[in-house]
This record gives sequence, C-alpha cells and structure tokens, in this order.
Amino acid sequence: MNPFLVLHLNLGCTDDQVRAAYHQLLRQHTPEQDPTGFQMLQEAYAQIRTERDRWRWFLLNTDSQAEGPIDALEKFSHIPGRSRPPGADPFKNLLSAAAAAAEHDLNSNRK
Amino acid sequence: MAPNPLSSDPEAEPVLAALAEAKWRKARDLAKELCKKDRARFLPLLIEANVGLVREMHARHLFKDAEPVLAYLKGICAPELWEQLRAELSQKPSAPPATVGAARPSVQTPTPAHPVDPHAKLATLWPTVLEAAHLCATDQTVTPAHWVAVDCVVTAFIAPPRQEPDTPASRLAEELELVQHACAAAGEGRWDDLQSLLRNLSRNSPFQHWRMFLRGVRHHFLHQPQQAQRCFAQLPTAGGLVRAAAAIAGSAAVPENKTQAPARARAEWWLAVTGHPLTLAAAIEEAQAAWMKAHVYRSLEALQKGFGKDFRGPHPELGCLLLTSLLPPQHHSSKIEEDRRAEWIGILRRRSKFSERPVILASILRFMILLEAEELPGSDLVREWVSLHNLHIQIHGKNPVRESIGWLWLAEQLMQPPEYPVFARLKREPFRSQPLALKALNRALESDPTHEAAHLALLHFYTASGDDSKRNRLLDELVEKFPGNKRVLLQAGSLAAERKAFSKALPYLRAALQLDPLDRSTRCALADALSNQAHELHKKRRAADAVWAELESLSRNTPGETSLPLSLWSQRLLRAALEQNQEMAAEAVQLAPHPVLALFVERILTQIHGNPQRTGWTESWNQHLKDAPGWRTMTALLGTAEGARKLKGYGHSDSALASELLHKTLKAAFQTHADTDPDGLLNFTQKVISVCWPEDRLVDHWPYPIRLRSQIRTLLRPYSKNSKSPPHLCLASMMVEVAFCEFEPSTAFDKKLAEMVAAAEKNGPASVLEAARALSRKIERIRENPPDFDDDTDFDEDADFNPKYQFKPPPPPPPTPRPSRKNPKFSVSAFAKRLAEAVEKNDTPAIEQMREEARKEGIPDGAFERLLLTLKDRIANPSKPDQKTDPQIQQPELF
Repeated sequence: MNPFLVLHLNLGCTDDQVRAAYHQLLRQHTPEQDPTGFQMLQEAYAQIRTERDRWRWFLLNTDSQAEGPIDALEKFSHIPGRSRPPGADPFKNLLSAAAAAAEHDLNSNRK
Repeated sequence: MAPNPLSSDPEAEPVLAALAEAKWRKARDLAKELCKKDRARFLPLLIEANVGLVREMHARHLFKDAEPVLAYLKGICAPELWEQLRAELSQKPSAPPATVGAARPSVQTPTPAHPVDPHAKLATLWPTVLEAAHLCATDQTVTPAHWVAVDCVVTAFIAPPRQEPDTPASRLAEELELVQHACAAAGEGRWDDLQSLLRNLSRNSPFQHWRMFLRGVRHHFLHQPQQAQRCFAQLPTAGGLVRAAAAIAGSAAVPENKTQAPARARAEWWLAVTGHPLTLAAAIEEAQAAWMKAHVYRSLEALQKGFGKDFRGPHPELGCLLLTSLLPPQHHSSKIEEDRRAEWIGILRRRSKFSERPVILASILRFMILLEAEELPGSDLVREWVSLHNLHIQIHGKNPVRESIGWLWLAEQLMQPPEYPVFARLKREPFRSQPLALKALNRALESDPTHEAAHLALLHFYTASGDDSKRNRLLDELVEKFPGNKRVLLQAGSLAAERKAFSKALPYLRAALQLDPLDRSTRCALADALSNQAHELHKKRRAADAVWAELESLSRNTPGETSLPLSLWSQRLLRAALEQNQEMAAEAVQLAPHPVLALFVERILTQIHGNPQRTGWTESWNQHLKDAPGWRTMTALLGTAEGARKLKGYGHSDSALASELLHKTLKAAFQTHADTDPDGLLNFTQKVISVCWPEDRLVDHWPYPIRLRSQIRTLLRPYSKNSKSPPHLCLASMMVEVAFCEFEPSTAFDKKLAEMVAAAEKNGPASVLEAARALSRKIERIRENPPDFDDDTDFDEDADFNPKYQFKPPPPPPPTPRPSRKNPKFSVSAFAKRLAEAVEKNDTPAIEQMREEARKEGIPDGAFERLLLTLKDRIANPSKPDQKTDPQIQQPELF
C-alpha cells in the first residue's frame, strides 16, 4: 500500500510532518485495538521517514500488484483513519444492494 | 396475521417454490389443486399467489385482466387485506413486484430492470417476516429464505403496513421502524442514538442480527476492528448483512463470505466513506469491467474519461491510487494490449510536451523501465530514464535528492554484468556499460554530494574495474567524510583486511561494531580480519595471544551458531591447526554442537595447513559415522562445509576432500535415517538444493554443488524408479531432479507428482504433502517463467537418467558472441579430448600442463576444474551405455 496514503501525506511533506502524522495516527490505532492498522502504520513510516526514503519509494518502488480499481478502492477505504460514517443514504444504498444480492443468490440456489 | 405453518409441509413445497420464483399462475394452479384436498389449510397459498398475480398484472398495465382476479380475491381473502390491496392498486401503476423469488437480470449487478415498488415488496414479504418472528419466538431454526426476507423488508426503508394494535404483527412493525431508524443513525455516525435505539429491540426479535451488524459498524468506525470482526462473524451467512459487512470491514472480517455486494454498490460505499463524490462510481465500475477483461489501457481511458479533464484534478489521491492500481501492465498481455500501450504512450508523449498528461505518462514509463531494465539495451535504458527524469522535473520541479537517487539507480543498472551464457563469460566485461555507469555515478554525486550510497557505489565501481589506487583514495576520503557511517566503515575495514593492512582495518571494523553491536555481518567481518591477522602473525612467528583473546570475545558458542568465524570451537580448531596443538584440537571438538562438524573442519584445516593428522581423529570420525548423524546434524554439516570454503587457503583439493567426507556422512545418514525421519530428510534435501544452487552462477563455485548434488542424487535414484518406494524418498528424489534441470518437466513427472500429492492427502504424512505441494508450485512457477537456458546443462549428468522421467529438451540457447582467444588456432574440442586422455591415463603432469595452457587461453580455473571432475566421474563409471553419446564429451565447444 502507498505509504503516503496510509499517513495522509503528500509527496512534498517534510520529515516533521511525517513524524507528526505517524504519531497522531498511532494514538488512534494502538497495537492492542487495531494490530493490522498499527502494523500498516509502522511499515509506512519506515518507508518514507526521510526525504531520501520518500523519493526512493516514489521513484523505485514496484510493489504495485496491479489489483484493479475496485480492489484498490476497497484497500484504500481500509487504511487506518481513512473511512468515516458516510451519511444515511449511502449506508442505506449499500444495505439495499447487499440484500438484493442475497435475494438473488437465494433464487439462484433454488433454481 | 398468523405465522404460516406450511413452510415445513412437503405438499406445499412446490407452491412455495413457485411463489418464491414469482411464478404466480403456476403457484395459483398448484394451490387450487391443494385447496380441493384441504381448503382451510392451503387457502393462504392460493391467496398469496393471486395477490402476486394481480400486482404483476397491474404493474404491466393489464388492468382489465387484473379485475376478475381481484374480484375472485374478494371472495377468498380477509376484507382488510382486500381493502389494502385495492387501495394499493388504485395508486399509480408500477413495475412488477419484487418478492423473495423475483428473478434478477444479472449476477454481478442484481438490480432489477424496472424499479421495484417497495410497498408492494413489503406487503409480499410481510407474511414471511411474521413467520420468521414466530420461529424466533419459539426458538426454531430460521431458514435462509426467512433471513433474506427480513433483510429485504428492512432495506426497503419504508414504513410497514398498518397493523391492529397490540398484536404480534404490530410489535414487529414497531421493531422494523426501530431498526430502520438505527440504520440511519449508524450511517450518520450518531452512535449514542444508535445504542439507545438498539436497546429497545426485544431479545427474540427476528431483527436480532441487525443489532449485531450495527454494533459491528459502530466498532468499525470507532477504529476497533477486532470487536467489529467479532460482531460480523456472528451474522447469518444467508442474508444480505454478511455481504454488507464484507464491504465495510473487508472480506477477511467475515467468515464463509463467498459472494459480495454488487460492484457498483461497493464502489459507491467506499467512495462515500472516504469522502469522494459518488458520481465517480460509474467510471470506476467501467474501468473495473475493462480490467477484468485484461484491457488495462481501456480501463485507464475509462478512468480518465470519468474523472474529467484532469485525472489528478480535485481528487489527487484517488486518481493516483486508481492509476497505479492498473500498473504494472500484465506481463502476458495480448498483442492488442501491447499495441494499445505503444499507442497510448505515443499519444501521451505528444501531449506531455504541452504539460497535459505528464503524471500518467510518468507512471507508465516508470513501471516499464523498472520492470524491463534488465532487458533494455544500455543506451535505450539511459534514454528512457532521462525522459522520465525530465518528466519528473516538469511535474515536481528540480530536486537534488530525487535526481541523485535516480542517477544512482541508473548507474547500478549499468554496473550489472552483461547477460551472457556462462561459458561465453570467459573474458566478460564487468559492467553493462562502464563509461555510462561512471557518468551516471558522477551525476548522482554532483546532484547530492552527501549521498552515501552513491559514494559506496563508486567504490564498488573502482573495485570491480580493478582501479585499486582510486578505490583506496576514495575509501580514505569516505572514512573522513562519514566517520559515523557503519557501511562505509565496514567496507573500508573489509577492503583493508583483504590487503592485510590490519592496523587500518581493525579500528574501522571495531568502530563499525560499536555503532551497531548487534550487526552480524560486521561481527563476522571483524572475526575474519582477526583470524587472518592471527594467521599472518603465526607465519611471522610472532605472538598472537591478544588477537585470539579478542577473537574469542566475539564468539557466540550457541548451539545454533553455524557461522565458522563466530563459533568458539572453530576458532580454537584454527588456532590448534596454526600452532599444531593436537590437545587443543581434541578439546575444541568437544565444544562443537556435534562432534562431526568439528572433526570435519579439523580435517579440512589439517589439509590446508599441511599438518599431520591428529592421533585418534580417524577413530573418532569412524565412531561418529557409525552412530550416524541425524538429518538436522547433516543440515548443519552442510552449512559448516559452506563456511569452510571461506577458510584462508581453501583450494580445490580441499573441496574434493570436503565432498568426500560429506558423501561418507551422507551415506551413513541414509543407511540409518532414510526411513525413520521423513521430515528431516525433506528439509535436508531442500537445504541441499538451495545451498548448492549458486545464485551468482560464478564458474568457480560450481564443482562443489554439482558433486554434492550428484551424490545425493545417486543415493536417491533407486527410489525414483520404484513406484512402491516410500513417498518421502521418492519426493526427495523428484525435488533434486527439478533442482538439477530447472526446465519444464514432462507429463510423466507431473502425473507422478499428482499421484503423490493425492496419496499424501489421503495417508499423510503432512511433511510429504507440504513438500509435494511446494514442488508443484515451483514447477508452476518454472512453467510461468521459464528460466533462460544456459549451456551449463551440457555438463549435467543427465544422460543416464531414467527415461520415464526424462525432461523435455530445453529450447535452443540464443546465439551468443564467442569470446576472443589469444591463440586463434586453439581448439576447445581437441583440448577436451587431450584432457580426457590424460585423465584416463591418470597422467598428473600432463593435466597440470594443460591447466597452465588453459590459464594462458583465459579459461578460468573453475571451468577447468569442473570439466576435470566431470571427466573423472565419467571414467570412474564407464558402464553406462548412453554415456557414449554424452554431450560433455561430444560437445567440447562449451569452452
């Protein structure tokens, strides 16, 4: 995963900004409550701690798995601190679509 | 309305199925037949079928056809239901009702072709929900159809039909409204409201699973994923909530999640929770559809179109994320896709002159260059990299740190050795392009003079190109410039130790170790330097007690320690060998984790230093061989043998001795432990394969692994031919074969491996199953990425291999430039024939003479030794008939 997205930073950030973002997110994603998020933060911080690290990652990383837009979007939403309650309507839309999918599966199984 | 008790009635089953599939006429006819038998019992089914039929007719604007059905219903159903239905139908006609059972047009996006009237849907599903409530209240099992109906009723998000007060139906309606309010509260993040609403839900409510789901949603947004996972894990797998949970918390959070919510709905949800406009969902869905068909560039186009004029635009993060999610393009992309890529890059390059799409072009170019760097010719690589460099300047402006990193990467690529088959490397160039590499390194250092890695790369450049004076000068400069850099100190210390400048090397290495006391490589380098210094002092007959004491202080005599420089017993053995102290050697043997390891090293050291063999060594060795070391010790011995190759003065004769000792130990281990410890044998075999296959493929390293693998292969060969042999032995044999050949195995091999996996799945043991699966995966990988075939297999001893498992012949190697020779009349084939004759007659002076001759012709010692060993092996085993056509003898052009 892109460490800039994990730490909510852009390419032109400074070392201090990286450190501040890391510490702020660590408070929300403790190893006890959210071990996966904590691990993700640690890895991201290690990858872009200094300016040289940031440019090296930007120029030379090849960790993209070519996963497709939907999977990338899903992973993006699961980055620590990225998702927030979206409002009643999007939530209802998701629930309706999921229920319709379940209904469809049930019918397919019956057939 | 009372719960329908017919769901468990076998007679009613066809009618229920027809109702579920929205086949109203069929359901009506079947229900009529049943009513003739027992009207009171089956009448609800007849009513339900007619209700569905009349709604469908109404939705299709068949009002006249609907009237007689409605009139018929008046006679059979309750007046309130009829009134409700009539009121519903008097409204604006809508699409056919969606019920549990309504067919959907598509699996991926089960959205109905026509909008569904939620009121009609709710009215149709309400009896099933009442039935679910009854089942919950009476602690009976709720069927998947009930869960689906409950979820559909909630997600209709409309008020339930009016019910008589103080009836179960009215209480259910209240709970439904409550859950719907709770959903709105969860969506808006009103967690206190959500909790107070959920508190009012009764314990035996059919909406209980909604309570669990909404709690999970709350935990998810409060960054408590473990609690959320626990909640989501309790959801019924049949309903819609498990799919919604998978979208919210990730598929891993939900067990047995086989299906997902539709792609569009998921995309909208993820856009919403990450604060992006939902209008982008259509573009993402389109891009995903193209992506699934492996049309990467069509997918890019869809995204670009959907995101508007500027792909990065107002949502740079998302645009960047989606762009890179499509890259790198698949390796096995079709010809059409390849053309599309070329076309795209052409268009983008033209446009990028006007600064329109440099980000997209830079992203594509970057992956192309990084992934194809090894295949691109040096000059092309430089050209592409410079164009990317210019693009980055255009996008991000000048930045010395970035530029230095970029130039260093380019220099490292140009400093790679050129790709030639091994035997064409007799006079190989050290770098792909020496002048370009030096230029790139200088650019890197000009951009950022503080870039340590670039300085170290320059040091490596001078070392590899043999410019020792420049290297030493640079090293001194670096130590002054970066006194606190461990890598610089380690490099300076190691190079000084190689020159035997110990007074310079040791302070550097000690300083490096002080900077990072836990660093194993620094510790090893210091131990190596100290042992070499002790060696030198001993040669000069000077006291080395202080050096030995420091060396011992570095040692880690832990049982798992395999590194020779760091183990106390090996240090003492070395000292004993230098001082010819047999008592010290005997004591050191006792310190080793297994005496065989120490006896092995002692014997090698004895030979290296030309010492007489210690009294009692042979007895001790034979005794331990008799006890037969286990596979774990064998694995450790393999590591020790690898370490021994780095001992000072280790030569080819020592390699032969090591190989002989290993072979004897191996035989003893086979005789005793071949059948008793399958795990150990398979681990050992894996170790042999991984240790012995030299990744750098340097010619000098070859004789040792080839011989060792030949030995293990000889021991295992009988088992591969016998189908009734123990599976672990058979598998070990196959592992060695695959490691030997590294090209596509035959179908017979595949078949045997598949049989072995099946047998291991059935009967075990687990270790065999695991190893067999690993081997299958390895073969798949080989098939996907067939290795470049070097002519090294011409030296392979495959000629006498069982034809049952014969591998397919490798593809012909690409034509390679032959190395120039000092003597143009030199004939390799004649040379090899003469050498074969000399070996056959055991004419040592002639062999030595030919060795000198080979050196003069630029043939490395390693290559000569390899040929010599192979010829010796052939002559020692002349009985195999197909050796007459052995390519090693017949094709001496290998040099």
